[in-house]
Amino acid sequence: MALSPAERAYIYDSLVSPQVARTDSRKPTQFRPLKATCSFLPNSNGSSRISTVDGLECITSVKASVLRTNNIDELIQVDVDIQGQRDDSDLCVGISSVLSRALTSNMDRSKLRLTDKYSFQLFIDVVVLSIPVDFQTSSYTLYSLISLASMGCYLALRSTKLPLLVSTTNDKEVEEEPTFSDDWESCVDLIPNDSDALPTLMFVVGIVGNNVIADPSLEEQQVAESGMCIGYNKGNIAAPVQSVSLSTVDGRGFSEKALLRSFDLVRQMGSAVTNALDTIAAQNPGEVEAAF
Amino acid sequence: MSNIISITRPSVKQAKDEDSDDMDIDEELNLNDAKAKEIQDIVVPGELITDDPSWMRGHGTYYLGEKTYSAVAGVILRVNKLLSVIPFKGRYNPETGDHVVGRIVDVTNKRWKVDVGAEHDAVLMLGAVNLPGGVLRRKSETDELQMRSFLKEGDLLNAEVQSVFHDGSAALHTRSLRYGKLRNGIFVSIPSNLIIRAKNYAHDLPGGVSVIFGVNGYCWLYKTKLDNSPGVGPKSSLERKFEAGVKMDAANSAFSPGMGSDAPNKLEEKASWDIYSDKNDSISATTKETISRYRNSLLALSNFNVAVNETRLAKAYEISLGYGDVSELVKSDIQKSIAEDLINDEKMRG
Repeated sequence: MALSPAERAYIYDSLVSPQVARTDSRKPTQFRPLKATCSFLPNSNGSSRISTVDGLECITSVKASVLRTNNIDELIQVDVDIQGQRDDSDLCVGISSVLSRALTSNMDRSKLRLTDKYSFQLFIDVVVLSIPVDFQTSSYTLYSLISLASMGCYLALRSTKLPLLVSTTNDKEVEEEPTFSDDWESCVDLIPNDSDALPTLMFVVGIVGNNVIADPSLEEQQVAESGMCIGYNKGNIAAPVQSVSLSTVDGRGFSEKALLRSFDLVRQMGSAVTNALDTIAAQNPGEVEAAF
Repeated sequence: MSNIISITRPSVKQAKDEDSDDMDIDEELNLNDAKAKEIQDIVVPGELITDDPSWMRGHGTYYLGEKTYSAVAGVILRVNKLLSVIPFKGRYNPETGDHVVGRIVDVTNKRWKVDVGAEHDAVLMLGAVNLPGGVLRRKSETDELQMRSFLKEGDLLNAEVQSVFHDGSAALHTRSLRYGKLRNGIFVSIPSNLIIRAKNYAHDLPGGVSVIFGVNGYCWLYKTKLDNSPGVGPKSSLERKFEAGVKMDAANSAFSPGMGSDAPNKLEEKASWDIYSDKNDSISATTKETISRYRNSLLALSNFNVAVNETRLAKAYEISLGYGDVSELVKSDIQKSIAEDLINDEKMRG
């Protein structure tokens, strides 16, 4: 629902003041609590379900299929579906383009290679189950979903298991189809625990004046002048980085200071978020359990 | 690290806790209603209530053939031969005299449409508001043309339900200085069934914060008005002096009866344009922190299904002070312990 001018002024003034006072009293770096679980879809290679207190919920599934191709670019397909939104809506297209850039930029493709001719193709499907009912009448754009969906993809990829390849990867262009172990117990992780190639996590931060806030709530998004969507990978800012408008009204550019601050903020939060997600991914790995 | 993010697994344990809460209600009701048990009192959707066709089917029921089933989860209400099910949860059902908080969604011909969280939007007629210039002023066509300068889409106001139409939608009025546009605070929405019915819904809380509990579950937390002007703040200067000596609860129990009667003069002074102003007063950082602490306490109670009134909210606020920094209060386990502490505290006092 659109905010009244008095509410808007109250929230804006609180956020823009030097000591940032958020309406839910969070620290500028603090996320709202999330609920997440993974490996709950029995017929996907990897899956995750993550939800916020706002009622936004996101299910991600990773499926692998064998593809005969040499083109390394088409190995990862990301598709985002948002309940109640057309597939070609700005929101869906925007989110899936950011996510596919984030996920393809730092993927260890050697893991996907089966032979010189065959590779695994990964289908990463993200479903946003519900969006707030007042989305149409409110001024927030929901680009903040990028952050949630990215965490969902991260969890799903961390929990993805592929069947063990028993044939050799080195077949020198001979027409030979790859063969896999029948035993699902001997499956391998797509991303081993000691892997260097972790998926890039996307963070959406809100910018109000010179202040930057993590995980803006729907109210905060409506007063935010601008937003930044920033990738994070292993302690560093990673591609893609782009500015997103979190609100359809009163948008404004941001200062250089705010930009640098938002990078600092993401660097600060990155490792904590990664650790929290890794903890979830590490719990009962592979065990299919009732998530609902 | 834990101050930045907390991710937990959706636990099955929580669902059990909720169940046990429901059980408590169940037991209480069974104790109260030990009479005539030929029909079970709590039903879930689809549950057979009776196969006796002589009952009339009321709200919350449906029938197949001669059998009557419940359409909602709730308690059965029998009035003579009329059988209805009152849902535990659901949308707010307006009743005449309710004090509600609403948000303007539409400005149409001589009326505003107001979202009050009910099935239908409520209407606020142009004739049911105080316009700048006092009560005796006649509504003119100019007023119709500049309705948006009084109230526009998105504006929050508190109002009273003047009447209810037969489709369940409400007509509101703001013809008192207690009602009108809301400023200087934040909006919190909780389920309407968690608001404890009381005489008054506007209260001053410790810490320079006031609250309006809309019966519809929409609440407004704002900085207490410091001057003695009527407006949104509920108390006259007399009462305020009175309050200084007496406990908060006592002072909250009544509006001054003179407030309505001496209104015409005051109205003319006060009901100028500034009752429709969108400007906030200056609010200090500490007041803002207090407001957000109240907001989190209120949400903590609502998240764990504790009905609220002003004493409970003030108590929850007091308990929350023991949990250190305000930013801790967004965590669900802390919210839970606040709600539990409050209930335990009330049990101790009896």
